[in-house]
Amino acid sequence: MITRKALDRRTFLRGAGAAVALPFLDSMVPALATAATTVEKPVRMAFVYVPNGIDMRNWNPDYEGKLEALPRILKPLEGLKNDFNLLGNLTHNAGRALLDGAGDHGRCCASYLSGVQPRKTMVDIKASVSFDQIVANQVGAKTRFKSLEVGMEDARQAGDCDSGYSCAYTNNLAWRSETQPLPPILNPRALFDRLFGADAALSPEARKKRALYRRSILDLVSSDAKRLALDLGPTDQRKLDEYLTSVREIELQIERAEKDNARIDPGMDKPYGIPADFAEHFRLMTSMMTVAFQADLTRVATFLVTHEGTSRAYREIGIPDGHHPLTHHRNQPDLMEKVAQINTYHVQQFAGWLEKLKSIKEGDSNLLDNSMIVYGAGLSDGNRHLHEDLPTLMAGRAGGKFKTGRRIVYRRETPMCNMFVTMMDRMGVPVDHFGDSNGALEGLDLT
Amino acid sequence: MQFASSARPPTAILYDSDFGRTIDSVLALGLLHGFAGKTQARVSALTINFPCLEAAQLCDMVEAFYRRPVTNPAAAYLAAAAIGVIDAQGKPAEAPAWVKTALSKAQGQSKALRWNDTAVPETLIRNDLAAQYDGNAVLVMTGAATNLSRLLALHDTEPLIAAKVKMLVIAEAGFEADAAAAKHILAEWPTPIVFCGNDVASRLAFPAKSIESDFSYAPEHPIAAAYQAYQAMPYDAPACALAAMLYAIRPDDGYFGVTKKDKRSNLTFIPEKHDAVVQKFSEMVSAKPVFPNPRRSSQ
Repeated sequence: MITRKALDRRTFLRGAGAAVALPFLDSMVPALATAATTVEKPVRMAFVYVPNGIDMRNWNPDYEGKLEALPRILKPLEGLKNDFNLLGNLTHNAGRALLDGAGDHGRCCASYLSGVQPRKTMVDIKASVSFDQIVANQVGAKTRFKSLEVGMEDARQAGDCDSGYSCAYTNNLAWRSETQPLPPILNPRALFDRLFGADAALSPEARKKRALYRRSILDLVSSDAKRLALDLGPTDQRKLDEYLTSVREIELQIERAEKDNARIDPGMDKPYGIPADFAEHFRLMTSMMTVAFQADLTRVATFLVTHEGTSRAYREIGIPDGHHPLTHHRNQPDLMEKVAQINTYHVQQFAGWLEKLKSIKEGDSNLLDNSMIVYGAGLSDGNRHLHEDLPTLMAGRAGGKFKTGRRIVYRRETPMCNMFVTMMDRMGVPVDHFGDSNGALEGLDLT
Repeated sequence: MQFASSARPPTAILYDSDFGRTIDSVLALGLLHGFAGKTQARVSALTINFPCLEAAQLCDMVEAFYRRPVTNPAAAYLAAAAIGVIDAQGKPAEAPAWVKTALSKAQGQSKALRWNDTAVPETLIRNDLAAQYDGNAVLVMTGAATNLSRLLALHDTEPLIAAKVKMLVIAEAGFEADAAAAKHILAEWPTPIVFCGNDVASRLAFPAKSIESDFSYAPEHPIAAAYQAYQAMPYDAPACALAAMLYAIRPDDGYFGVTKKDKRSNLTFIPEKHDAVVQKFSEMVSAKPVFPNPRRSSQ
């Protein structure tokens, strides 16, 4: 007998002090559902921000149209080049000095998603609500978390980080209000707990006890999972199993990272729970963002890979020099080469995330197809601190609305905010204008 | 940490022209560079209201002539300042023959300019104005008012114009080519407007003898090449754009009279000043490029 019953999209597996959201399952679609009644596949949106600009000589292809041979920095994305668009000539005028003098790193990061020039100050900070938060406020009611703010580099929130600009500007991407940035979560365990722990129901004692016994969160919800499995078909059972396995893998990654850190010389400034290895840390954070998107825990995420202006060294790839000093290479080939290596290393990590998103099926498409994942920076040439032709890569098809696999070069001085206006529209939050936009971004849509 | 100078920089000139249609638009850019070389003005933004890519290429070639050459190969990828060109709406204008001739003969580097290398004019002007001190910018316009009308229509831009622009100087020839835009500007432009009318322009001309004698320091000077390509030599060129530009840069030097009515003023011709004005045209348009020390970016 066929019924029109369906599993609620908001079903959680629950256990003592834990709740695990579920991915999109076929059982969530009512039997005999028509196209019109098919459960909405949400569109997700994420920004991955890398600091200090990018070596644009090795980022921009010398052609337009269909993506063919990729420049050196983008080579790690070779297998994904039908899944993204590379956008040229987008400009953030609000990142420029505009009479405020030095401080391009502070300005470019604070203006990146807010679209306004931040006030030059170390105390009474002021920018504007970032567009991701405008979207989050609209679509966030449908998800457990309005948005996720994720990062990888510990950074202070006060003091002078760039020529009189507060560290709040260089160390945050998302702004809840014009005076309230949203600091990124840096610790994978904290992110894991936020995503999967039922904090409100857990007393401090219970929380301590859970940490003591290091039980898998899946153990806590296992009886609920078993009960649910009885009601699922074979396909959904497999999906559920894969999903819970991926949650368990993240748990294991975190445990491994914590054990690794225990062996590290305490002289290293690494907080408990954060992997020492950059790539491992990146993989962990993006794995959890993946699960958050997959389970529709949130539809909006920002990922500040390292803070703007960072002088982090990349010994992982044999570069002991600080990132920021390197970008002021004054056109010295050896220094430019190191910048290109760092840029490529970042893209390698990003490619891994896109592959993961693409591997997760959602109906007849995949999680990447149903997303808009932007990878970019607030500066183009880090040597000269340029705010035009910002490196911008948009992966995903926004739920089948975008045509991908192309290099699209807009006319110079095209506002980056035009892209935000387009993205807001695709997220179901249409606006007439945002920041200094003068329209929507043309050329992305299928039609 | 860097500290900004307490002194204001010279007046920023934003020049929206019908570059490629008339020779006096080219001469006016030369005049502007002449004053810029003496730090009496700044070339802040260049936009073109004639939808012709070759015109933009010629403009870029003139700019390249006055630009410090890039000698470091590693820095050669750095783009020059953008030139805004009105959207061709898929129908770019055919380049006039004289523009093509000038492009083939003039000294320069930027013949490869594509549409996507040009900027959206209204955003270029808006962005440039945002970087100016209050009241320290002057807009000079020759040709149709389309670009400025679109600028005025940008969200939240009118207050910016009101704060930054001291005046808009319009060379009247061609102003009505886009009647709706002209009407929009006259009705809503928030700063004083000064017109340089045909009655002034008809009394002034740029002398051919200057082209023949004052540009010899650069055998392939782009302005001289454009002048020679525009008409059979010798001829004296019209000077409406030149007069507008001269007034915009040196409004207090008494080269022209001014009659004022509400926020609109009109330049008037002063016969006694004729020779001084023409002399200033020749002197400044033919001035040798001056390469100031490159300014450090605002990091």
